[in-house]
Amino acid sequence: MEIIQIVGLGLIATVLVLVVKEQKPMFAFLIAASTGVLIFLYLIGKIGGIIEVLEDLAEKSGVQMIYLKTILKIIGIAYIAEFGAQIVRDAGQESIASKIEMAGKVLIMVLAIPIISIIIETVIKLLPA
Amino acid sequence: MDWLAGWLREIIFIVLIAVFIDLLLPNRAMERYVKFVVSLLILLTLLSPVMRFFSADAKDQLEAAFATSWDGLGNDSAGQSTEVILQQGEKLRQKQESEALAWAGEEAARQMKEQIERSTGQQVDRVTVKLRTEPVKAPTGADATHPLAAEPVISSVEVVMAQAKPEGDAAPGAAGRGPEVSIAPVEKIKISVNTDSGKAGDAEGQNEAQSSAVMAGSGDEAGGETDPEANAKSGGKPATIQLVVQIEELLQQSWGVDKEAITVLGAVNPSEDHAGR
Repeated sequence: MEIIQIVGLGLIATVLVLVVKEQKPMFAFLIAASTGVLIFLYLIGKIGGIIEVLEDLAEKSGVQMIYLKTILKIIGIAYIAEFGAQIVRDAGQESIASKIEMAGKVLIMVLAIPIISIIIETVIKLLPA
Repeated sequence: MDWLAGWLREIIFIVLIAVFIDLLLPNRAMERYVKFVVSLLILLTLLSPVMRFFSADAKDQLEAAFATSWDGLGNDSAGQSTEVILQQGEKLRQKQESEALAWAGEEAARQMKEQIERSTGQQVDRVTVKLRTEPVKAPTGADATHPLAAEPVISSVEVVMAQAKPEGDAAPGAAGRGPEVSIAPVEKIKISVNTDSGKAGDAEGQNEAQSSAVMAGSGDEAGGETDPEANAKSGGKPATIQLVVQIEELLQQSWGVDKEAITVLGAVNPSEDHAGR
């Protein structure tokens, strides 16, 4: 049933945006952005449930929590960057949206740096000097 | 095999998570990057046994690296208060101290074992030394000059003799006295120890020199309880008692351990009575 609520919210927002857009483009953008935020907030609870299950599983299976934390950070960065970029894109600022996406990518790569360094160190130790 | 199971479990789980977040990702734009990082994680998991083999502290290293990178991102709990850091320092110090204590205990036990084996000629199965730290008290006299706030004190010593079984079998049966052949040289050494020290072992030395019949009259606190048995067995048990006493004296003289704290196991019953007094 939740999907119907969300789709309904989206449809109503779309109609409102279409109506308002002729008179006040500014309000149309605000409606679109707030609808996006609402749906996002609605989904945060669900994502929290998924993450809890994942953490539970990780504890049981003995995976290092640091791996899971890294993965969760990656997902978070990807989601937030995507969300912001789309709102900006809705406002017609394509270039700023691409910058936001680029920032997200860079931050994801920063998370990879310690892993890369550890792997390279191990490989160097493996090979005879 | 335990590590293999853990390793496989870890790999399976990390691959599962990877597939899962692949589905969770919002759009294609991020996909390549996320896939790269996740595949690095999988590689790290695959390599973890190798890493453990090559550097023991790989885990700490990894955690340190992650911590610094997260600090760089600024989304870590950056403002760690001084209190937390102090607490961590205290925890580390305690851990280090307990490790040092454990190591010292092992070393002391090893030396005690060698000493006992050398001076008694008996096989010692194992020696367990328990250490605890005690704050230095003022009236310790000469030792009060220690700079440390706490000094390790031997709280208990447990000596387990290796020849427990044959002696225990032989004593009640009174037929097969095989092990006592190996005890015989103990008397000799024992006497020489007494001539050296002549302090606490004097009364005991008399006991051993004249046989168990005299022991009743000598009135030493160790012999009192076990005298009837000793009389009955005609010198079978005094040998073990003597051994215990000898070990206790040895440890007391060379290590300064309280006699109360020494437990000698593995000999026949009188030894346990003796140790428990």
